[in-house]
Amino acid sequence: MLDIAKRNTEGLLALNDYTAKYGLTLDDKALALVLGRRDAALAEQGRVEFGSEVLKKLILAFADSDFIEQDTYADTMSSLLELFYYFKGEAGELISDVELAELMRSKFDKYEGDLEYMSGSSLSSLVRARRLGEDEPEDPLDWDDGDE
Amino acid sequence: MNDKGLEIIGGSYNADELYAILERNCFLYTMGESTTLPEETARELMLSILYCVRLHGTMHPGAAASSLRTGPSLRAAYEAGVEDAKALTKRARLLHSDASRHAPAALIACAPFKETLDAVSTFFALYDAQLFAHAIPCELVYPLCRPVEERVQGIEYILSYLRTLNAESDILARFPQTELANIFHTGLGYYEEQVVNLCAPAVENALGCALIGLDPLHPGIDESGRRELADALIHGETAPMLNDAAGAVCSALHIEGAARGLVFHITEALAPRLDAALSSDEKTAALSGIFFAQAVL
Repeated sequence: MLDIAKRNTEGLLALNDYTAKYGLTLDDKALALVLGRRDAALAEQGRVEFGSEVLKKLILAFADSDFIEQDTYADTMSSLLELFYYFKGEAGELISDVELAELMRSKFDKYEGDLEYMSGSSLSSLVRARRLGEDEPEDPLDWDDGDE
Repeated sequence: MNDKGLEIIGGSYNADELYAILERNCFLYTMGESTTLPEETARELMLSILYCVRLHGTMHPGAAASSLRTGPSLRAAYEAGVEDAKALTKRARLLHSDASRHAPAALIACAPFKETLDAVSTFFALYDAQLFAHAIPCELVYPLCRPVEERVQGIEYILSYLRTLNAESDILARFPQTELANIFHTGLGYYEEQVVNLCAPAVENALGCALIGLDPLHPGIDESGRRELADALIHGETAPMLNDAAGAVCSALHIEGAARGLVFHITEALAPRLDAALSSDEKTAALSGIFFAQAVL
């Protein structure tokens, strides 16, 4: 089990090679912090995860966003992980990891990195609609589009 | 579970191996679309792995011992267990087919019995020996006279259920069906819609007949018969008398094998009920709740 955990950590640190070109890196300490919050989020949401694929997917999906900065990188990734697990359950498991990460990224950029707005409004409605098999609701930020 | 190993059916396996199987099954379950699952689903996936390993150990104790000598492999035991579960599923399909084809008329008329046969078909459609081998994805409403133990899981439960059901069916088929339906109507009312076991009352009536020297093949017992029964039982010891009667019923109806075991099980369960009825002031009336007469047509 220790070998698996070690391999996962090494895999995550290796992503620094990719994210460094966007000015983002996680050192051992920051990564341990993120993984600690990941474990707490999983426990809170009553979920289990094999490996650290979700964090990898989020890092890759968000690395080139204009709204992530190195100072808050670890904290932002931790928050994104928490939201990911929450919305995964909210969607009734009907949304794939990649699809959810992409949805979160698009809303994250639309709300200029404001996680509270992103999660509280449009993403929540979107995920709920997905679970209920309803048409996806229009994003409030799109309401003014085409009126002028 | 610790980091070094875990004990499963007497063998010690590496926990990493179990983790790898679980991870693989999670991948299969989500079709590779998710690496995170609700705890409940992960727990079920884990229970399925352990079920398959145990099943293999139970079905092939020699092979399991050999595996331990040559170096235990949890994956090998799990995969062999999945194949064992699939083989048992084939066996259960045959028993289900027998249950459908050979059921006697009195049982076919019973709605819960038909619902149960349909439910077993559903089981075969939904059962997943690889990911949820321990699960029983159907509800079997027809109550057996000897229920399957609750600890029995997955395909073993269905097999055990069908074996007992077919043994009950075999017993019921030996009686004249119209007489049997008639007795059920007298004692149970509109039995066709009731969730009640039918084998036990049929055998109990046959036992009553055997106790007073009547032919167990025609198991209706009227009031005078019940009076005679009360007299006979009061002057003797219930358990040995019933045991002799069970032997007589099996001989008269040519009941053998698993069905014979059921007759003796029903007999054993009847003894305390008879004692309770015989301790009543209205013995004959109390016995009418156990021994049913043919309806007067």
